[in-house]
Amino acid sequence: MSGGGGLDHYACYRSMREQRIVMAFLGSLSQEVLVGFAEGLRELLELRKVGTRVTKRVFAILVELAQNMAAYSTERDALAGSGSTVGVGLLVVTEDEASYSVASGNLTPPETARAIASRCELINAMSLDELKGAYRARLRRPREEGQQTGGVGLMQVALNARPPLECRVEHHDPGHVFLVISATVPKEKTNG
Amino acid sequence: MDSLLLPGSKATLAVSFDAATGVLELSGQSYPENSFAFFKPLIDWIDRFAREEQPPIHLVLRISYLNTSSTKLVLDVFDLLERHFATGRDIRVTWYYAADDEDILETGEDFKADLKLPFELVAAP
Repeated sequence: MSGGGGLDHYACYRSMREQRIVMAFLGSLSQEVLVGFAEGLRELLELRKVGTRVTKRVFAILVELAQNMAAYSTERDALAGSGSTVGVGLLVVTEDEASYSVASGNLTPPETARAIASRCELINAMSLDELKGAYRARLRRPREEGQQTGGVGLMQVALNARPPLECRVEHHDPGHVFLVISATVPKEKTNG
Repeated sequence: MDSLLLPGSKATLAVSFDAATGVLELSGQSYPENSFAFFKPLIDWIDRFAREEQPPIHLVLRISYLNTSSTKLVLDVFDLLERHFATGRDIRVTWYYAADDEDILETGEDFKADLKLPFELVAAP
């Protein structure tokens, strides 16, 4: 038997191809890895000439979801040479004829998943103008002690995407769930 | 005081704050791991320059992308400039945007809407 602990690599490859995965990552999301993935994705979209707006929106969603995951995933790896840790999770960019989708998936406590799901519901209930207003207001609100910008990051994801922002729990374990957040950007006709 | 020059990277802005001319330029894209740690020295430098030095301040921004936490810190930069402007300091801002980038134009328009100081939006050639 070859290496890889019995993993059928070809089945894995074929399954990913059939799901039309453009780029995917599973592992510890250090800032270096995040930058590499994000810049690689941008390069790929530029080569495909999908247009500035689509490229920048897909890029922006990826960065926001990835940084969210790096900060909040409960599965964590120690970062070499420092006392800090880095979040572990899954990033997947897929496409179909009409759109690109970006998804993050990571383990999180059930209460965190519920809080994020209710934020997504609030965002999805807003019109575009309401969402822009809420985003502007949240950015200008004074920082609260210990509060990160997670909520406002989701608003930025939604502003870059076609509604709705999807947020779902795909697996329950004792103590934590697997939370998936995904956002879709429609393709545009380009002259490229 | 000394000028502040940083080369910039994939995830951090290039900084060119010229203490002799008062032209403060930020360019590139910003999505560092810790936005506060990146922007804090810039904000401190601008505050000190506004208080201690004479030249008018011209903030020139050539930004292609800001993540959410960087956007919040750029707002802090504008808040600081607005406070100094209110005390009579000569300050203006130029926001360059790529002609095909409506999202960055809109970001500039949103910043401008909050401010009383002169804020010019210019399509970059």
